[in-house]
Amino acid sequence: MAVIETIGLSKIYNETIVPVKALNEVNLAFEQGEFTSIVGPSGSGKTTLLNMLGGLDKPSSGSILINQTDITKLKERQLIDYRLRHIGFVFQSYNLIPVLTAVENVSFIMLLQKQPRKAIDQRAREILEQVGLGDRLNARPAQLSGGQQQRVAVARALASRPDFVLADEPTANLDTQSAFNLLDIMEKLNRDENITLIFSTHDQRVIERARRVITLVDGAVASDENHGS
Amino acid sequence: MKMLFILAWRNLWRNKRRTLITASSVFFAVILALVAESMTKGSHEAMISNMVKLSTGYLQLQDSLYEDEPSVDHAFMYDDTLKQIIRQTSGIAYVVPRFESFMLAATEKSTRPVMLRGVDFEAENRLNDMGHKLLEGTSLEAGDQAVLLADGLAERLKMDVGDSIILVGQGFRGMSAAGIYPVKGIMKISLPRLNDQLIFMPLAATQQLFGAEERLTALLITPEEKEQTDLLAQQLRDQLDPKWFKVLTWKQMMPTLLQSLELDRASGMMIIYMLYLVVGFGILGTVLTMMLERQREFGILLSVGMKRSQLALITFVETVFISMIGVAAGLVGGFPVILYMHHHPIRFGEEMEAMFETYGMEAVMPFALDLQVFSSQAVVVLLITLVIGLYPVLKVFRMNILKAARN
Ligand SMILES: Nc1ncnc2c1ncn2[C@@H]1O[C@H](COP(=O)(O)OP(=O)(O)OP(=O)(O)O)[C@@H](O)[C@H]1O
Ligand SMILES: [Mg+2]
Repeated sequence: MAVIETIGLSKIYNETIVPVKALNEVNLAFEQGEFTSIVGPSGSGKTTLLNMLGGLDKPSSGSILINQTDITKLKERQLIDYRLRHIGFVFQSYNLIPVLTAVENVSFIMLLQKQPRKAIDQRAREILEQVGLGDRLNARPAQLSGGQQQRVAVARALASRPDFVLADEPTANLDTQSAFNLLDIMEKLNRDENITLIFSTHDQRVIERARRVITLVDGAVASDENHGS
Repeated sequence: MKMLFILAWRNLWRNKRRTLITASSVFFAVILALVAESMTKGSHEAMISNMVKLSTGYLQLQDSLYEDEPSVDHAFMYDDTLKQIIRQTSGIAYVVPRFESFMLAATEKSTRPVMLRGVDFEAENRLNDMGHKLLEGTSLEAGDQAVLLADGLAERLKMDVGDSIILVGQGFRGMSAAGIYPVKGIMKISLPRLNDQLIFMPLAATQQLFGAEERLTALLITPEEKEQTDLLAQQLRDQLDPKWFKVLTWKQMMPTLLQSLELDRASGMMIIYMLYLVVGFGILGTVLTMMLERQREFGILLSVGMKRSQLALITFVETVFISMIGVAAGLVGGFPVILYMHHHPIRFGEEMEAMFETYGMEAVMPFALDLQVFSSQAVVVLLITLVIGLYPVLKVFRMNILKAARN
């Protein structure tokens, strides 16, 4: 059964002035444990799609079922809680709270979820070790490289074991080596923890790392390929 | 919850300089306000206590008609029943009996209206250290048939110790009051108005002169605690028949003084509030910049699942922290300053000294040491802060998550 399913998902910006059709009748389903990249030229609707899936924006029409719940029907308060408990986010850059250390940043969401303190500490350390930052637990974001910061962001998104993680261009600001490194980590975590992972990119270098590649053109799905694993 | 406070606290120190500058503006405002308030309060208290001591006393018991028509006909009997009531009322330190009336004073060369005050010197001294201001001659004994003149009056009448003064006036209930008395001493009275017209005589001699034995025009009552004045007045009123007696507090007897002091205080407060307004805008500016700088961070926090109320709390607590640092430092820093000034008040120069002395006051700027001054400043600043703190809270609740995150 699909973790996420979109049915006739459309988004039109500026409906009243100069309408921009950012998504056009998108029907997609994502299974538990998938590792998917969304690709396409600039302006093709990648960010828009991820924002819809993450409940950060409302579609103009269509629905989004997450574990059978239509999140387009949730109120903002419910959505915030939904995001907190079920979705992990990695943004393009400056993901982290500058005044918190790496381990605090990772603990943060679990704290908001009111998990027990002991479990949080243990999990935060464990996952930071998994992303290769076991020795930088108490570093502030400003003391970390861009690649390290993104790894902390990935750790934070996965720490609370959400239903799925959305990453919009997580490698866009990274050099080739760091980009590969981040993708390796994402792939490993996806495998080890069986967490569904969807990331957008127009970076040819990292596209192949995904097992499934969905190509968007002008807000519509142009191709949807499985590379297998 | 704890996490939110940690976040707020650390956010403050992201830009140490800005936070410190903002907090110090609060600090200086609080110190200034404390000094201004303590000074106003201190000088007002000194003025009041001076007026009270030399003229009205804290409380007065009078005949019910005396206030409207201050004539000796409205002198009341200070008899055993009344003494008993006074004795049995708790909270009274001591009483000062007076028999007071306007008379005409005559010498060989001139006549002048004067105020004759028949007093119990011992009691009077407790209230206002009268004895210290004897300039010439000797003080009076209770049984003396003699007078002391205020030095302003002595000068006007061109009289000296050893001269005799003729006093003529209206006695009790139609009797005539007239007598000739030797001047035994000249006194300095620290209220110019009184210094030009006051004559002291022992109470017994005065009552005899007016044919009003055992009667008083006023009984001044000094409470054990000044703050208890109103309460004590009420207690006395409850026990005395209003048909015969009236109990007045100094506030009722000197309404104009009270008004002018209040006006003075209000204008002082205005300046302080203006200062606070400026400081308030300073805090608002800092809070605004802190908001703008962190739009993206806020967007991310709200995206990953922080509730708006939690984020709002953080920003609110940040605002409160900034001003609390300033207020706390101001109160802690202000206390020794006020304490020192209270014990070592500023002395005025010599010219000022003369002026102060005419009013019977020490030529100093007295500072009140009153915890209420401290707490009221703290409350005012915190109230201002709460209002300012609402701004980021509103902003957070109106923020568009996506727009913020895209910044
Ligand atoms: N808030 C908005 N208001 C109006 N139009 C928007 C808004 N956000 C995106 N669009 C438009 O919607 C279309 C899809 O944008 P989107 O950001 O989803 O593309 P993208 O694939 O993420 O592009 P990129 O690779 O450059 O990030 C674009 O034409 C864009 O101009
Ligand atoms: Mg995009």
